[in-house]
Amino acid sequence: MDDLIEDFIAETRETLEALTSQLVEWERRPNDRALLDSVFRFVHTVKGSCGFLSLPRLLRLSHAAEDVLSAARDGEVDVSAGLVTAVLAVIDRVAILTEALESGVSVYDDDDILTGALRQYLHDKPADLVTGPVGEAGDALAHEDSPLRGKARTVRVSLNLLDNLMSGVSDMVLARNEVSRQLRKVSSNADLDLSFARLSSSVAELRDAVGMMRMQHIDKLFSALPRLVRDIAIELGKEIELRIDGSEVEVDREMVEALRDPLTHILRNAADHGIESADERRAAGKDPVGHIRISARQSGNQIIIDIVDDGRGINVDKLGIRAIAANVTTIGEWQTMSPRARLNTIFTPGLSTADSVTSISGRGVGMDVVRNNLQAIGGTIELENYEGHGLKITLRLPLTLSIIAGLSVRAGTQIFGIARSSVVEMVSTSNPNATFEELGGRKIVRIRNKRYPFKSLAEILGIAHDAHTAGESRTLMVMRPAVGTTFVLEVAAVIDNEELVVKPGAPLVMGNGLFAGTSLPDNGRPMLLLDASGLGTAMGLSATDRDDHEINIRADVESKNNGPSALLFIATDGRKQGIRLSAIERMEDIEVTQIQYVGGRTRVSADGGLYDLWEYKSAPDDGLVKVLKLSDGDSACYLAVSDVIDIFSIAGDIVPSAQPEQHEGVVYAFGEPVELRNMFGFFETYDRTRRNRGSDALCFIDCPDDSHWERTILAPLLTASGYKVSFDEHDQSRAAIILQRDVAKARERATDPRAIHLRDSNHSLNAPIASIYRYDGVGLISAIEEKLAGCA
Amino acid sequence: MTNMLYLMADLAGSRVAIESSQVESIVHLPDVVPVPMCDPSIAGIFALRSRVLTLIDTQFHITGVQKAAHKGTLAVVTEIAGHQYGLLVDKVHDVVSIAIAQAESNILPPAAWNRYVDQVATHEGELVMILNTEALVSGQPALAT
Repeated sequence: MDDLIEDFIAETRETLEALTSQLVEWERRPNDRALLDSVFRFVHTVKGSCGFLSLPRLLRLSHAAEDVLSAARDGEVDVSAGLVTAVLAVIDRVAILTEALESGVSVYDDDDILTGALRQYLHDKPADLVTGPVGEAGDALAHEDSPLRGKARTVRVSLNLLDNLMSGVSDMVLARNEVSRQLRKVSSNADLDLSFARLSSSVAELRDAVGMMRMQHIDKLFSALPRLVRDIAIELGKEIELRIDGSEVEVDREMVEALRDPLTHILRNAADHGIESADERRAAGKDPVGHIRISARQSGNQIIIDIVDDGRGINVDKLGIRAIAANVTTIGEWQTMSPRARLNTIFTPGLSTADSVTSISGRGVGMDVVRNNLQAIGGTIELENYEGHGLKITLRLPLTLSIIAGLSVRAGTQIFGIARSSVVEMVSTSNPNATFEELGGRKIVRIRNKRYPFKSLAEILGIAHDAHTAGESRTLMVMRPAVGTTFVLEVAAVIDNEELVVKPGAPLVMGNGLFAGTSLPDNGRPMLLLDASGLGTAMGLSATDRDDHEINIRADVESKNNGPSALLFIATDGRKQGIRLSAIERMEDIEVTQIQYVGGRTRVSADGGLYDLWEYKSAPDDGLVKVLKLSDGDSACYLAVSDVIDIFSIAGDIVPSAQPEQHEGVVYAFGEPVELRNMFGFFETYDRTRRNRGSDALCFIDCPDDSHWERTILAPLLTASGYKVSFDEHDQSRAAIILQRDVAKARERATDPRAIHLRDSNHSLNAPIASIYRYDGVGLISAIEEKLAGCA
Repeated sequence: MTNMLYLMADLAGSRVAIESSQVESIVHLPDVVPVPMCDPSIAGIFALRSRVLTLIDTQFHITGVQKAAHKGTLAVVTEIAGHQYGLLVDKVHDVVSIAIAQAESNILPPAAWNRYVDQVATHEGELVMILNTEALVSGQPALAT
């Protein structure tokens, strides 16, 4: 029996989640039969199970709801907002009681009020239907319907089991890495290597699959929102329409939980403060119905959620007055702030532009909490304010909580990990741009005219440093923690750039606030992950965001005066050159074994893809090639370099180059003229294949089934040129080009503008019809292109 | 009168017993990575398969002297409040059954041990202290008392 109840609880809970958004939809379209049916079906199922499991309260509630819904289905009762509210109240109570069943908490029994509210709508119905015996109405329908509901087949598995599986697979991956290391030492047995490669790839697949198990549709999070907005809208007497896009985006299970509060808060704010009353909206010439749109999408390893409302936006002047009144800023500061910095004061604790505190929001605990919650999971929040027209809030979140892009750094003899997102830039101490100063005992470092507080990691952690011999270069990392001031951290060396699997640390380890967790890299030696904010605090820096606008100002100034940034590097031919920083995705060292000359050019296989490698000259002794990974937003390629020197900003004019295809021009870097590389050439080839692929024109080849030439020579040529090829008769009608060798067929199609005739002989003299020699590849492709251009 | 299984171990020179249901395994430590700037009772972190465990310097709790954790030293793996820990021990003996009735209620452990010992029992005529593993990782350093 207990099992049955547990199943009932789980099933009811699941159906409820799925149902919430439908309920609101139903209110908007009360006569939508399908929606009404699914609500009815839910209530009916609950009623049925309750009768079976003898749960009298749930039975009474669901029975009352079923009666009303059944009457509504038969058209005897109009579905009004009031009726929906009454039904929702009952469904809410069902949810509470179901939870109570599990937790064993008792819920105050005022169910009669709820059922009473429902019965009002049945006032003109005979009494016996209301109180009548359970389970007459609608039974037939429910029976024929329920088995028909097409649902993806799923199995319910306990989270513990899932976690065990996860850690089991991680163990396996580690063991595989260990075996691979051992194998490399001893074996030159090709068979063994082959079997190991197979094992290795299936382990990788398994790991990916298990990773997917942790993922959930973000719908799980979104499905509750329509109801939330509806309730707020009714409470405030506004009309609000919520649109949700991208429910199919998948996110980490934990992320769904972590996002729930911030998202709810943002929505409440939007509905309460953002959307004006209908009268106000009409006066402003807007649609009296307020609109809120939520959309989620995945971009690379980020999830981006936009929340857009068409309300009044943030009144920045009012915000300023509040901020000054609350001593958050001074009038002078406010005037010098960039618009962006002004807007961002909304994240200051205790600040709100709401005139009145409502039951929903405006208590001043608001955006700061939202931002902190997001930052805690590695996300960011951005505002785009259109005063009078609305507000767009963009949340950027990492794809999973458990894997971060990290750097491993060395302090003393120990290796630590740090999230790459908190590192702004890295500079070597030998760099002439970095100078050291002191202010009353506190060390300060100046990097390109900007001063930062500075301390070495070894000093903060109290690790014995290796004697700091003069001339030995160390690395300075400019850190911008999620909370707190930007500072510079000195480490002995940056070791690697890798994906780190974050494992929570024991409370005793995390207690000092310096660490964000632990990680286990492939070498099997555990590593502590540093917490950037914690390090800042340990340096005695304030944990407030005072320099937030400072950064913004700096960014503004930079964009005004200094122009874009570029990277100065030594090319493989030994010359100093510059390249625009915005095109560089990252710098890395790749192993020589990853480089191959295939398909007519040097390529790198990395991250499961094949990328072009430019200017690769020779393999260095240590087997590691320094490369820049360049990206134009869609595609990527690598550029081999001898060394990377520093970042500079392109100031002044760019002197035109004599070879514009290679160099954009000549610029000054640290007083020296250097060539600025032209990015165009690196991506041109890529774009050619992509462009072709985009054309997608279908070529139908008319030939006998056994014709060898068409299948093995012609079709690949066309595919490589970016056309789709078909041998299927049915495709003939929609094909853009028809190719044939048969003269009889060529005569038939003499008037078809799509047809191209191919001849076997090099000479065209005897051919009765205009044709192209079948090995004239260039001629064929240009003929196809001409035809396509003619069609267009 | 129930018999419970206990793991007998040596800790800071004394014989202790740890209830066997709390013992997940006994391992020879791999490399131990020190954790800077933290509670002195933390000897470091170490990897056990794909998990990262915290190593507790049990001896420090008792004697106030830190014990160096070398590769190969024995540790008892236990899970407390969702986190896994290794407890440093000098030596492990057998798993034995001790009847609760054999507990000696009138003998109190010495002051240094008092926080970490549930009760004193006899096994084969010898007194043993039954360890409270949770107290060892409660996060309250012995210095605070």
